Amino acid sequence: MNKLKILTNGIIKENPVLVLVLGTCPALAVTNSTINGVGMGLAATFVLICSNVVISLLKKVIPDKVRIPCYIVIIAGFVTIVQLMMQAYMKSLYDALGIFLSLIVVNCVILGRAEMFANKNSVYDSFLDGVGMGIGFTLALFLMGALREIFGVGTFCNIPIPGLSSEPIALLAQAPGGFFVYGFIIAILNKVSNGKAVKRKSFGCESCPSHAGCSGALKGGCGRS
Amino acid sequence: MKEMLIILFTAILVENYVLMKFLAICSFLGVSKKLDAAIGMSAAVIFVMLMATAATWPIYHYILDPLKLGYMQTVIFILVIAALVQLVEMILKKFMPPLYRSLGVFLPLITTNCAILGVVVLNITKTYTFSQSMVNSLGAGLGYLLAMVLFSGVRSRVDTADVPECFKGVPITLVAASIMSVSFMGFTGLVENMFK
Amino acid sequence: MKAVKEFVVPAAVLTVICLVVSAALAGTYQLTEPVIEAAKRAEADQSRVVVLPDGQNFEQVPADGLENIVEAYKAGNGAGYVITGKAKGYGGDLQVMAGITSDGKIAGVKLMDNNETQGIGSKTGEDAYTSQYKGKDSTLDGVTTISGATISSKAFQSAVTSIFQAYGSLAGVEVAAPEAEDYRVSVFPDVTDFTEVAVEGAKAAYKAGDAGYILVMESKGWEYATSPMEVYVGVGNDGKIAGVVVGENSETPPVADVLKPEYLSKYIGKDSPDGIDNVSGASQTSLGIKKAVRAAMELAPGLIGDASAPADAIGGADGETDIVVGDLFTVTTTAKGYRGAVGDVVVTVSIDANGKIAAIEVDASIETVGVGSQAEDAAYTDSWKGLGEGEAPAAISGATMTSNAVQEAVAKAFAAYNASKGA
Repeated sequence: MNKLKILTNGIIKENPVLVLVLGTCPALAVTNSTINGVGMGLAATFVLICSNVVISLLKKVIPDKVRIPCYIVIIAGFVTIVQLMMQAYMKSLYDALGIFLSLIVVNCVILGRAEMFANKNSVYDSFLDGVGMGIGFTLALFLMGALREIFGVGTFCNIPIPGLSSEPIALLAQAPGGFFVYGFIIAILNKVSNGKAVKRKSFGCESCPSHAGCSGALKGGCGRS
Repeated sequence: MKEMLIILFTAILVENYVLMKFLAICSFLGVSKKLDAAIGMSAAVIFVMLMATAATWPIYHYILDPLKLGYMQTVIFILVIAALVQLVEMILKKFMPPLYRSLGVFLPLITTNCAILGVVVLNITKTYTFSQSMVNSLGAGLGYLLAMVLFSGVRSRVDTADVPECFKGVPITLVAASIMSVSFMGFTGLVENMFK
Repeated sequence: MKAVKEFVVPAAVLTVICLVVSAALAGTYQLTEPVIEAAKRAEADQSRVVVLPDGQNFEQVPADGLENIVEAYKAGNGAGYVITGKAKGYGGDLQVMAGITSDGKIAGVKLMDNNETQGIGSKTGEDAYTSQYKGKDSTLDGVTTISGATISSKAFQSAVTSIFQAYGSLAGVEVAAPEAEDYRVSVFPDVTDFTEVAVEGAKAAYKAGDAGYILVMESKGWEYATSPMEVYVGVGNDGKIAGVVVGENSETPPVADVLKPEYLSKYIGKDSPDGIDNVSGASQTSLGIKKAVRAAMELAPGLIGDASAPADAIGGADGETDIVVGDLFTVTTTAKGYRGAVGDVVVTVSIDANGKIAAIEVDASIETVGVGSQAEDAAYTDSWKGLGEGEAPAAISGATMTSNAVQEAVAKAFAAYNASKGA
């Protein structure tokens, strides 16, 4: 596969948040400000690149039976490293992201890439995939965070925007605004691409990182044994 | 008792783990299409949440904290949850086949359900006692059930509604979730006064 | 072999991965732990560094038993202490945090929790006010008050003084208290030499140069005040009041308004507090000042050598002053009524030569307004007229305890009357 294609794949064609609609929890939870969104994106990118590389390195060693636990342990290890680093050098961002930093462990994007890409491809390709997906994830969170901060708080990266900061739409920075802005961005992407851009047409089992091993998914939906 | 009720209802309504804290969004949007699946998934989540809390709270407070291994929390917790889910699945399969048939299918999904890891980590960071942690986990689970059941009702209407082409599918589901989240915002400040 | 491949290998691989991850985490933790600890400390220290910029690694030190101290921290690097003290301000307790360097100077002060009036007392939180404390030692020499926000400024200052006292006992050094404000100068602004003279019945007394005397009296103020008021009464050589100033007190707003010169200046030039109006809403404090002035004016003749008042009339039965004017023997006595825990009912009894009551005057302002206070009404006091020792009119219905107090006070008055007869 073309190396450049692997890299850009995650940014545009298969943007994890906006096209594949994965990693929804952090995309909604921490995007109440631009800085938080970008911080979360970069933390997840670091974990994604590292775990992709390591899992790709170990793909011959890890037995198929225990691969998911192995992936989880490796990812959790990198997450903890990020947590410790952030706690040491970026305390305010660490406090702002809170529990969602630990929850990178169960981020669908990361486990999904390990399962779908890293354990089938070379180390270098996996690295590029991690970089691409990470940038795509970060860009999407930046977009969400910027929109919610500009219209919800009236600032951009904590700098007040004249005309907007006096009467912001506060709801957009709160929980409901997360769902709303996310829905709107996807709708706009649908509109401009005539429904071709967004891969996910509805919510189903694909978003679940463990859907590959789920008996229900194979039969067309959760809860069907 | 009053304190427990406050924790319980705060977790169910005010800080609803799905609609206000954005945990378990994947399964919330994925499994809420049908009511029976929504209830089955929620039951499994409540069950695993309580089990996971009962396992992780003592591990943190009696092993990790005294040994100053608090930083291993994330790794240990996710492993414990994964092992627990496996164990529960095996036990149910062998000893309670009827229960396995109704709950078992959801269990593999739950390891990576961020509400489970989220609630056990929050129980530690909020420095809840063991009983408070159990009540908080129960509330989180019941809140998940409430959100799932309500939203499955909403979705059965939304899916047949005539919305602009570009909103069909994912976007309108998110907008519907947004409106439901607004309604849960109305509970803010309610619980403290409810038990005065 | 199959069993090995199926169970042992996966388990072994998983275990190895777990061990490697744990080792990596332990390493990272070792590297980052000091930084994390430092970051945590820095965050906790942030508020304290504001008042003690050189301080680091603050550690809390026990502040039990230190008066008016909320909490105290010692800088780990020996830069000094950061202590939070409190004092009663205009709107209740206000808290002040001050950083004191190791050489006993203020590095900075900050107004913390307070309910001072926005725009008035709150000015004590502004840099313009707080910056004057910088570099001051415990005497707080030259610290000014904000005009219009005297009470808040005084409270702020008093909190800083408490902080210095705490600093003294924590650091084990002697701390000089700031010089008490000289209220004497406020009474006689032109006088600089005050010589103390001994007067029985006054808390203190001074000869104010050639201008006259100052009698310092103690009087009860508002019932909720935590300490009595100190009233400085200046008496001119002409025997008239030269000035009244209220010194140390714990009166609280709004009753403290009567402590201001606007009200107290009404006394100047009078012979007695008679005719000075009580301030509505602050009657207890006004009465307290009145009583102090009356007591002072009764002591004054002995000082300025006015022959018109017999010296032996000073000091008397029950520690109160009894005055014999013509045939009438007048004495003021006290007794505890319904609110005895807070203050006394004061009764002034005039007994004629026949041993019958000519008149009584009751000050029951301490008692419940509208109930016990009825004892002040003429309807009740008149009923005492003409009664002899051991006699009493009917008690006021609903105010038995106050009536009993009046009865007890009258009995004391008769005891004093008998004593004076015997003498």
